[in-house]
Amino acid sequence: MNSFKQAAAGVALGVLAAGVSLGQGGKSHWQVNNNLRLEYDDNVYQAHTNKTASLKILDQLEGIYNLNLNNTFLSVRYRPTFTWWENREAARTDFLQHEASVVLNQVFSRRLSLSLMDTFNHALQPELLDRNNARVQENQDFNANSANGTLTLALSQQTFLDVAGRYYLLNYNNDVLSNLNYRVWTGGLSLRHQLSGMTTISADGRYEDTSYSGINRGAQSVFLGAGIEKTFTARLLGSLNGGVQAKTFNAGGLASKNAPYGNVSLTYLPTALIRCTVGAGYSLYETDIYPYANQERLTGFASVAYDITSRLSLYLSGALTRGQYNEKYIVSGGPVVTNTIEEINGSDLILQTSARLTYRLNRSNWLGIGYGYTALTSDLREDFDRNQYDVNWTTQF
Amino acid sequence: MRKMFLMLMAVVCALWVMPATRAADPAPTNQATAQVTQAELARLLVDVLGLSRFLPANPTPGDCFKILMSNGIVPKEGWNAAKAVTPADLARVVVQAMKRANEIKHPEVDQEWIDFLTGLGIAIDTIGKATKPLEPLAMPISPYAYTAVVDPLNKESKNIMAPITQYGADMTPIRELFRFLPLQPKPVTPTGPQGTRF
Repeated sequence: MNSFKQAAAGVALGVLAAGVSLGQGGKSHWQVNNNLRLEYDDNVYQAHTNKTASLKILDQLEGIYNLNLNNTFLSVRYRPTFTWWENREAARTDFLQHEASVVLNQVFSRRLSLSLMDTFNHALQPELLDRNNARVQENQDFNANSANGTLTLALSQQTFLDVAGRYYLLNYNNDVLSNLNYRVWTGGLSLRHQLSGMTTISADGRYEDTSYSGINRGAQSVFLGAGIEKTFTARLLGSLNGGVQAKTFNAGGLASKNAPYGNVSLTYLPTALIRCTVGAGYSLYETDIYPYANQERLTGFASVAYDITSRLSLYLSGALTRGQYNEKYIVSGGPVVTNTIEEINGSDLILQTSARLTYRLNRSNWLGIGYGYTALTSDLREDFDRNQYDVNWTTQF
Repeated sequence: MRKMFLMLMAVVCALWVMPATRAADPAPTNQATAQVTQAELARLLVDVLGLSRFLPANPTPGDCFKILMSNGIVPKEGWNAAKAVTPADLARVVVQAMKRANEIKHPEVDQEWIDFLTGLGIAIDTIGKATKPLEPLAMPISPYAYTAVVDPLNKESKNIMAPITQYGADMTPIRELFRFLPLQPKPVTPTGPQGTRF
């Protein structure tokens, strides 16, 4: 909760600074949006069998404040979400989830600029049940905060140096899960050069330090690589970057690992009405499965937006993620719970897909229907799949 | 954490008072269009349209171009970081950002885009005047699936933790799950101890 108070104070200070600076002139803008959604979820607890279905009513109110001065841009956004579950324990039928972000861009001169960004999320995740519908894990409500900053120096008209840093923290509210809390410090340098207006190359270096509150699943990683961004045609743009990652683990007995990393993405507009983007990435990664300290993760995604008419739009998105786990990266010393082990080497395959059709009633109101399908196939944990259907109404005030 | 937060806020406040001491370069947003590059225009549009939160801090021109293209905002000949912004380019992207491109009868004719804005009373002789009526997009499109970004400065450190809207559609988060491993050796018979599985 301390993190939430600090983030809220940061947001309030940002708004205060923005309000006072209005005396300097510039354009400020308030916007308030509301999204009301009725959803049917057929597997609330992500269970393998004996699934529990529930209706949900969600209301998201979003407030955005933008201040645009000559060399300063400030944006503050706050979005609380209220959720009511029709089929859950009576004590947990109402939720309030918070999301807040602040963006500050400052241009000092044509050669020097600074960008700061903070995103805070207080999210709600219900308890989990096993195949016998017994509660095996308490709720996983958490606070997550990501603070980023980048200082950009123009060495010449075509060459730029970015000095960047990031601090990410994740804290679970439940004491039982506190050993999963973690912090990530990251620093980086990027040297970018515009070969032409259509092509930019870069050399990148990163250092990342991850630490956990509980048993020591932390590690340090050094990334060295290069990248290229290219506009191929008026309708096709792509980027590619990659290099080598050297990872050293804090826990004794875990061998260091060097591996390549990389990601690629393409954005293509087949027509003025259709936009699509595809991409893939591979790297060593933190894990979602305790007590592993590492996974090799390969992921791909594809998304399409299609303006069928001037009022009707269709959006499709999908992502497939494969995580490979090895017993060499299990950290001992965790809580003792009897369990059978059938696999300690194996992989996860996660499929997430979503579709939405929206109809614009007028300049301020949209109606929509949506569908989402999520499936987990795993050697290491229970498989599940989940369907979610919703109708929603979005209003811009 | 508290000290770091207070230091960060002190830096933000210091930056706010700094404009009085900065170098006397003219503000790019108030320059005549011929002196502003498409990279600078793209960055301005990303901020004004509320798309900054989907991008890294200080995004590259390529990052800005990608997200603008995903939201249907692109000059006639595509984005070119070094090219100076022309009135035709500016008019086209502003109308696209207002989501009124469908009202242009002959989109291949540059003058129609300029005349459309003129008809609305929007001047395009400077970037600042032309972008003044723009507002954050109510239904923004973010092209990035968090799971595919590997740069540690920008990635989501776990699988999607909270529901996000990816390209206009909602992606369900994957919960962090954990299985506890026993310190005793594995059972060797099928009737070994059975416990909770996740």
